[in-house]
Amino acid sequence: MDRTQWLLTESQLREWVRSLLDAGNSVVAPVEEDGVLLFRPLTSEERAILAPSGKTRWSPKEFLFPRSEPLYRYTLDGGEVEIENPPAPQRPQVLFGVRSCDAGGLLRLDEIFLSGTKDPLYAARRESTTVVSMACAAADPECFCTAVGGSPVGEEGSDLQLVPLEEGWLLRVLTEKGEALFGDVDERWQDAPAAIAKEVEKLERRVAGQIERSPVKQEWSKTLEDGFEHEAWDRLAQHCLGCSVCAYVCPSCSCFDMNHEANAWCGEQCRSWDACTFAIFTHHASGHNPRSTHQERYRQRVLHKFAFKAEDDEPFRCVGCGRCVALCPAGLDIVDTVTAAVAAIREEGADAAR
Amino acid sequence: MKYLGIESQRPKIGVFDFTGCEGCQLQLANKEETLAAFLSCIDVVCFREISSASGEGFTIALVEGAISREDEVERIRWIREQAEVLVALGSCACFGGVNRLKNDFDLDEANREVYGDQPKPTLPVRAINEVVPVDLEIPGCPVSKAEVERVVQHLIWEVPFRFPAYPVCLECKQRYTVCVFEMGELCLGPITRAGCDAPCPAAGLGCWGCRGPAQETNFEEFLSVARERGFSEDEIVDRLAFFGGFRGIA
Repeated sequence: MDRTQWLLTESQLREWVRSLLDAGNSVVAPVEEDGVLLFRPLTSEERAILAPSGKTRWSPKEFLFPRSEPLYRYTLDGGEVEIENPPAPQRPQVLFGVRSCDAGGLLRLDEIFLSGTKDPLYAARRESTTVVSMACAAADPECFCTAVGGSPVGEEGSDLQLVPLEEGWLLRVLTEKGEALFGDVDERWQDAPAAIAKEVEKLERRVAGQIERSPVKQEWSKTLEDGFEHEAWDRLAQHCLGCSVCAYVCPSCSCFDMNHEANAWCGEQCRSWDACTFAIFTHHASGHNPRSTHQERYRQRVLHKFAFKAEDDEPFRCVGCGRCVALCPAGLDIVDTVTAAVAAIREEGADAAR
Repeated sequence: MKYLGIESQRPKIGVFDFTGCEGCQLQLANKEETLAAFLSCIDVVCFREISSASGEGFTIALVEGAISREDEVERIRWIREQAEVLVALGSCACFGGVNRLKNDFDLDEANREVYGDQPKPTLPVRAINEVVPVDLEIPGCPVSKAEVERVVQHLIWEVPFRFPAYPVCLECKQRYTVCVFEMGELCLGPITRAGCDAPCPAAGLGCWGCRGPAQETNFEEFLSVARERGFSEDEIVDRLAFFGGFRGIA
């Protein structure tokens, strides 16, 4: 597909959002609530925060994979049971203003919910969702997308992309789904010159330069897996409180639990977010817990992001948004943990070789 | 009333109060949207706050408050003998609650401080389970009515029930509350059992741990986090002691 791109002014961009709302889409975009930036379905284009940088406190994953959702409901009436399935998505959804890292996070969710057996609820939502990402013109202190193979202008997971440039908002179409979203192009929109690509590259270099984290290397995956039993994990896990806030704010964490909530008349089977850092996550009905210690659970989360892979060149499951770093009550930093683990494992290897 | 085709009986429930503010009982009577349904499932034989009935023959006893007098010891023993199931309701019943702070003082001195020259007979405060065996404990100051309803359903129909094992932090994130630690408040959220829906941090107040510890907390690290953020030993110890839930680990 030929790349189509335009340069929009802010008011043109808002007009476009307006037209998306008028066309019956549920447009989910960053808005400010009590001083916090959050993704919310828009009622008006004016509420959307069109900022060249800064990220929402939560990733947008809950609009594909809700924190808690009923898988089915039932009512009991005498001896009769009536089962009610959850409704299909009523309106097409546009995830608007998703940062590049978060758009990449959605692909990590696809890997879990769509490869092999498809999760029907997730698949229906995904099918009716179009992602309009927004590149970053500045990095937050916790950002580290470039350290895990991403980019502040990364296109992965986006159907359309907005890039904040001095010349205006560059809007690029990346997929057919993206193209289908706006139908007729507003004739007042200005085509972006091919040379604009240079400006995008400049932006990418500038923002990447603000991220002072050394990269997590692909070959570390094997080192980490080889050092699975290394005693360094005891030390590294020691500071984790086990609160699992990291997993909750993570754009790619996909663990869930299923619960039966019921009373005498009705009930529902409910799927809710869970986290591998919780003790009961792997607690078997038999009473056995294969990850019974705190260390094992912390290691699991880190290694699932960086080590456990089917193929060597598979991307990391961490997209570098840095929310877990910014929001950890104990100030833990997953990149520091991985770096320290690799160093400790290699050091032991070197000692053994001597 | 049938559940999964099986006719169930309305269990006879008695609600009893000991040393405490009766706020937990009030919670039971408060939640109007489910009160009628709740009452249709049970047969209240004794519940001072909502009914003048004071019958006997209850099978389930919901007990609020801590034990702090000799006559209370006798009464709770009697309740234990009558009840098939004894449920401790609220932080006072489960841990001793705020009342327990009295135990840090000389008993006579505390008595004089409160009652002046008309001292009352008093004992060191104990949780219900320190006096008689308890079948179920529902912590919280006050208890969550929703949780009590689930426990009662569990007792009547064996509807599965388990307390959340995770800490309050999660419920703050769930409701988009900005971490009060970030705002310079001391908060026991990272080590306290969730299930309350984190109302205190949502109102800008750090968690006081009324529900006791979450399952498997990293207590040492919590202490070092609190210290690093500049809270003094006294502040931390006072906070942990407040409801008595962290006794034994604090």
